[in-house]
Amino acid sequence: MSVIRVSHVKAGQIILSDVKDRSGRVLLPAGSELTHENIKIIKSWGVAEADVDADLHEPATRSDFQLADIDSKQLEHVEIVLAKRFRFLNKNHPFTEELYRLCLRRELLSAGLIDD
Amino acid sequence: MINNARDLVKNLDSIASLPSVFTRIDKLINDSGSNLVDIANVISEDPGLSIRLLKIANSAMFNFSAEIDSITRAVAVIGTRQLRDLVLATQVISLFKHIDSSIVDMHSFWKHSIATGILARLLASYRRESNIEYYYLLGLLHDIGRLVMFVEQPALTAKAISHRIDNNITLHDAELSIFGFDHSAVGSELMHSWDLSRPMCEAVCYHHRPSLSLNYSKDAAIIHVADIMVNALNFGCSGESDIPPLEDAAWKMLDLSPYVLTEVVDHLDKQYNEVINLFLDDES
Repeated sequence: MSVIRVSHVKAGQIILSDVKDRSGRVLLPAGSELTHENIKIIKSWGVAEADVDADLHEPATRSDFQLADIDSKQLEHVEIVLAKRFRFLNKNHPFTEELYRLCLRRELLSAGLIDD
Repeated sequence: MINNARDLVKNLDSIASLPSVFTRIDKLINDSGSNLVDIANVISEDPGLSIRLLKIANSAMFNFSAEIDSITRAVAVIGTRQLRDLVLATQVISLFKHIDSSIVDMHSFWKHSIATGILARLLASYRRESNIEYYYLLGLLHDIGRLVMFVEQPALTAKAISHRIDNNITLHDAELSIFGFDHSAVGSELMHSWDLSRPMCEAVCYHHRPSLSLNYSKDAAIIHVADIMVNALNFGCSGESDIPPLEDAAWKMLDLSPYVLTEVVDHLDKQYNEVINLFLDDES
């Protein structure tokens, strides 16, 4: 099982725990199979994550771009700048991991090192 | 000798009081005999304010499908309390217009504050809070105490800045060491002197330590997380050059998945330039 972001779920995967909206109403009960239709519905209700049967381990950072393609010196420079800015935060906190990933992506985009 | 945040604010003579239109709308909202038209009339007395509110109502902040072409319609569609908070948001920036940019980069300061407001408003909407404009206003106001410190105590502020660098700490912690109090306490005292509500003052007062707030920790937590995100994303600067630490309890209070951040920041990117232009056009 893996709790993954809803933008990464795929039709055909099985929901392992109830998907609920913010008020706690169940949108999809555990055991449901995801379809293009119900993925659209849970997205429109603002659901951000789902527990599915896929054996995916999202790396904490660096998930939606290929760091291997980036010049290592340039990457190192961006990471040093970010590490300084993030130095008062606990890097293992799920919020910080996600925020760091977002910021890394933005910095690499603005440096022209990755494409949108 | 300044002993605490209240003394600092008490001695202020350079920062004007709040414009009366906000207090008049606030009174009307609390008067059960008043209606939408009464509130719209007060706003309409100020043509500059009316035009600005209509631009805001028709901006990406709201994304309404039909054009809002009158203040009465804006009050009806956006809501009375929400519009009251937007009125204050449009006016508070001009209260600090006179501050010399050699003391503080005001443009950068308001960019940070506006981005925090937009993010706080977005986080509040993901939490299905009822008045999301309230969070925009809180975000806009959260660091105003720093303006008071910069203007009234430039020498101590400079000392706090070098203390931060020397000791590798946040400016917030450096303020506590040098002044004995921080910008959140000063901002809260200033808002109190303006007769703003207790929930607002308390949320600003605890935006670095939301769990210490007795009654409004959730509101403080929304501002706390928005402020951290804006510092991370580098939108403007209010004096702090690094990201202040996250209070884990505050993040838990929001009860949001970290995976909403991407979407929230997408929305921020879509709204940011337009909202900056709406709120800063003739103020900077």
